[in-house]
Amino acid sequence: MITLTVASPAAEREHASALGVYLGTQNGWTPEEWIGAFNPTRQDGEGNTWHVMSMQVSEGFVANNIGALSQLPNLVIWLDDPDAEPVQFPTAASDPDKIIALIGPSGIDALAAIGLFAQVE
Amino acid sequence: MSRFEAILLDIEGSRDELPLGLGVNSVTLSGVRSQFLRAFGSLFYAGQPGHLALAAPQYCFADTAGTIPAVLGGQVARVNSPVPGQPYLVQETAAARLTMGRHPSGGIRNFATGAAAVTNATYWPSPVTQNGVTRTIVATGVEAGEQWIEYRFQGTPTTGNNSLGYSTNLSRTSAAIGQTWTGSARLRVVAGDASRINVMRVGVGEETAPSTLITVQYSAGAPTNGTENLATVSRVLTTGNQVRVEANIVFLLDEAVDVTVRVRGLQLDQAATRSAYQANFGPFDITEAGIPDAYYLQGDGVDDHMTTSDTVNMSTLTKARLVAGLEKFTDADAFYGVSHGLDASGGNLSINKTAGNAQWTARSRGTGGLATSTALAIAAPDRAVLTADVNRATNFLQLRYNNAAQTASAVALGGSGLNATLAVLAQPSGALPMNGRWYGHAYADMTDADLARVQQYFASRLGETLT
Repeated sequence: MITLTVASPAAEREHASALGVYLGTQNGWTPEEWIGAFNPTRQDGEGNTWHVMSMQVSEGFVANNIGALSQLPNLVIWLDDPDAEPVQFPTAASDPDKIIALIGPSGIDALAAIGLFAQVE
Repeated sequence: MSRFEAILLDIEGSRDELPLGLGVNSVTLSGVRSQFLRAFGSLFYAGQPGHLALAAPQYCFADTAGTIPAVLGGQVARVNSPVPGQPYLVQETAAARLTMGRHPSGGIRNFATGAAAVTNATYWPSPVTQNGVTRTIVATGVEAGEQWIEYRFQGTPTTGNNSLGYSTNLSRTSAAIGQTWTGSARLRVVAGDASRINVMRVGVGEETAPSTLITVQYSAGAPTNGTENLATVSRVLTTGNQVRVEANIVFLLDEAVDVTVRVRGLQLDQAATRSAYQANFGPFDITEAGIPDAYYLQGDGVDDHMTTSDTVNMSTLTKARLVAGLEKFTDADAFYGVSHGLDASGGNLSINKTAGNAQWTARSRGTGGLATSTALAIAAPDRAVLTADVNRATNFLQLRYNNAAQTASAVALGGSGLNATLAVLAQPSGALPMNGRWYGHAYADMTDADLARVQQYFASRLGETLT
């Protein structure tokens, strides 16, 4: 199992939810199990709201979907790949209009790397 | 002591746990472990209000209907209460589900993730060609309780260095400067011409970021004559904040090799020496011979949590105690372990831990507003049996860490309701999720004797020694 964390700027939430429902359905979940996936929120350093989700997925889930996902124009993906050239984490500051997916680090580490902070009660 | 409790105290057996809350005549008394029933048997049997939930496999399901048993490393959609009639915990959203895992009750010492999963190609891939040599798995097994794997190396090396098969990247573990980490494995040539081997060894790598390696410190070379050798290396971290372990073989160059090497009991300890072996089958499945497994549900601190399927109605009580077994991973910010309202707005048994200043804080909200118990400083590890006491009659809210003396905190609670949704690892809304593990909780009007038993039960799961 590997951790997948996705953060979506508020304006992209509908796209993120639709993508989640689609990928979830492809991997055996019902649409209802994914509709609420992007309810939790975090704020970036500018005070902008992001919708987030994080979960354990199989290596097969990643292998089956990363190719198609990498073609989407409003999505950036960072994969913890020891064989790849080191690249910078995408962040809320560098990609403020993109849905950001991190594959590998724990959810809390991924959000910290993106630059999103805990919601205040 | 009730008749029911007196009966339960005499029971010993093999079954771990059974439904509680049934009448005496309908309980099957054979084959029940006494520890569990001593802890919980008297709390709920006559329909007393409260809630009991445990991260034990027999109560955890992968679907919200409760028909598909949850598996280690898998998501948990529903946790049934052992007490018939009590609400179950549920999470409808797939991405927000907790993950079930187990570790030895004394804690995790082998951080080489998946090193024992010798038949899992994720951790031990095959075949792999590296530097002119192809390595292929030829056998796996267990010897003296430690998993082993044999790779056959064939080819003509172009560069001497080759991995002994383990996906070292997957052992990457958070660490801190100044810590000592020890990598170790038993290495043996089992077939072929060992004269072409320059050295076999184990290394501990120090990184500042994934794949940003500071250095790898290697053990002395193991004998290559067929004798098994425990290769061990320790490193004090100087710069990096993460470590990883590898097993490694160096061939002499420019001549063909055909040799088979066994790697057994690969381990990465946060210590200066190798400890007793723990079989690490993956991030959510670590076990140790002779040590009971502790099952838990892990939240990711992003969205994972569960809530009860119905309100937990404590309105007939003037006092109650909530006991939870928790471990928190992250140092920053406030996160909630178990949440239940004195009214619908919420009250929380929570952990507020900032770096260097650990605290546990229990809070309640009544109509009179927010009330917070005296913060209780704790020391690492952040694995604890946490107890909150609420007494509306005398207006106090207290906190207890393990079974230490309670904080003497008296606060005006106000409010009249004790009837709300109970949440695990976040507030009921999902806000402030906790990055950590939940082992279970019990919420009831407990006597001091009951409380001690419940605390001891969770302590046994956590591997904590109550003080």
